Amino acid sequence: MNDWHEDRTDPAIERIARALRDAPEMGRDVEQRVLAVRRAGGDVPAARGARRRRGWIGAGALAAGVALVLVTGRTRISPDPVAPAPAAAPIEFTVRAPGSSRVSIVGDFNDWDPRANPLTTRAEGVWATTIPLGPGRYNYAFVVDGVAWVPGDADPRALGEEFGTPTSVVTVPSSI
Amino acid sequence: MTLRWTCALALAAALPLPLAAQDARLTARLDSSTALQVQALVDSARGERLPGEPLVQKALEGSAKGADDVRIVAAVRALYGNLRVARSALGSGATEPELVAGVATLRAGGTPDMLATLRRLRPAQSVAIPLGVLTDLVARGAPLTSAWRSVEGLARSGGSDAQFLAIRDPAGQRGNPAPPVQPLHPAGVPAAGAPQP
Amino acid sequence: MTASRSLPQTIPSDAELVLRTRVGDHEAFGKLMARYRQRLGRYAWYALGSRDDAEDALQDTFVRAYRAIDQCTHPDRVGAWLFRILINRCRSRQARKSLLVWSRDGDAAYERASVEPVSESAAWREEIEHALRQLPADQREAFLLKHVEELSYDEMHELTGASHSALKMRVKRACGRLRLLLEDERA
Repeated sequence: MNDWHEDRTDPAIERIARALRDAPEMGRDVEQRVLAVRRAGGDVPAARGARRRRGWIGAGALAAGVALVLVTGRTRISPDPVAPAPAAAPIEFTVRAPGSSRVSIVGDFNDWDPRANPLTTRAEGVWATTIPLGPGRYNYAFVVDGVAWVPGDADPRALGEEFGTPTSVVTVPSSI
Repeated sequence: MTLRWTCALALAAALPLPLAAQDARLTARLDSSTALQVQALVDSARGERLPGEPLVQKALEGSAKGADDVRIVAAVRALYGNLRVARSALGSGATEPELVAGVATLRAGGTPDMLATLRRLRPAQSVAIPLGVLTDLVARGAPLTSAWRSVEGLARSGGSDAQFLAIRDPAGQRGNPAPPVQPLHPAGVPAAGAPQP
Repeated sequence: MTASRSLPQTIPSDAELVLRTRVGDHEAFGKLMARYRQRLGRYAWYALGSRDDAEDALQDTFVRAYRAIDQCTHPDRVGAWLFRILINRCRSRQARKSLLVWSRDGDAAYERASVEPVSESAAWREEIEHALRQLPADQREAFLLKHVEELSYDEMHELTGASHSALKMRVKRACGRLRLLLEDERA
């Protein structure tokens, strides 16, 4: 049996590929359906009658997605909404605050809400939490005992802060 | 058509565009006048195809820090302007992470030319990480010119995002273990949102 | 008499069509679809195994692309962007369809019944399509992108997110399996 190497032009594979490249013509009715219904401002029915159930699932899912956006009030524009959302990575935030009774974290990822992500103690005076974050840059700070805003020393400071209270910036790359 | 299909279509057609809705977070956290002003800026930005979420987050940040309404609106307006400059430098196809990173670079003293240069050097890849690294190097005390030299040089040689991050964090890990927060003394620790000199 | 000159017709670039679509020019999007319909449809057909499913996936792709046209970050590379959407749609359909049993006889018989005498080349392609359906989805996807769409591994990585080494392994295994299957068919 020949050893197939992907970088070598194999005549048998090339014959297979050539046959596949010569595919039957795809109908123009796909475009016409898409354009006609977009002009009308509606949704697009499934390609064939036999696929109605799948089309309903698609339209229902899209409608539900829009409804969810309105209910939550969040309209974040993602970099590419049609591709699967990039996976969130668990990012750990840690601060040493001995003698404190409660610590939380606020930032771009939780609407700066001190109730959203309270930290828990891991060791004496060490508080931590793990938050799943998608790729991007997030400003954040720790709030200690509800009054003291403390930037995270594990990350650089945010420059040009407008409100007189320092914050840090965590960068989550697209692949960790 | 089945009843379910009809209902789904009717729902999809009847729902107003999300852009026209008042963001519930703004109305919950700001007074009505400020919320309206901020929402108007958000809608205007989105009308120019700029991301609105960073503007919302800026307003919420100001609210959480106890800033007054005038300061909040001014901050949101300034960010809107920065996003425009960033988009002008990075091109109309710039993504939200790129624009946000671009704004941070501008605030660190970077120029629109730097943004445009990185875009030119990385036409098919996101420039969010290189811009972020440039900003962070300056935030950690590096002079802008030397930070720019490092970032631009790596971009010219086709560096990956991981290589850019390695410039900023040579040990390969995010930062170092934080020193302990100073024990709280009412006299020494400013309250959240207290005015700074 | 006034001489008149007509400007030569220029073919709009992909980027131009994207930008025109963004400002509401439906026809521009129609031109974009016409440009990519055949190539995307071909991939979907082989990835999903039937014209019906391919048309559904293609339609789904175009609708999503139209709705999210503002998010196309590089209008001059809208083809790759459309391809990425299509691959995701095909994967979603494959995940749903994995619960069903591929029926070669059913699909092939339907196709055969709906066309006039099958040429030798069409019969050969049908055999290849049947062999393709025997491959795991990720190998089929990699083979189609590499050998039918003739993309580089860099481009394949950009579209699928898989590493170069994973893609190469999938292509290698697909080639080996196809050769075995098609040699058996022809024996």
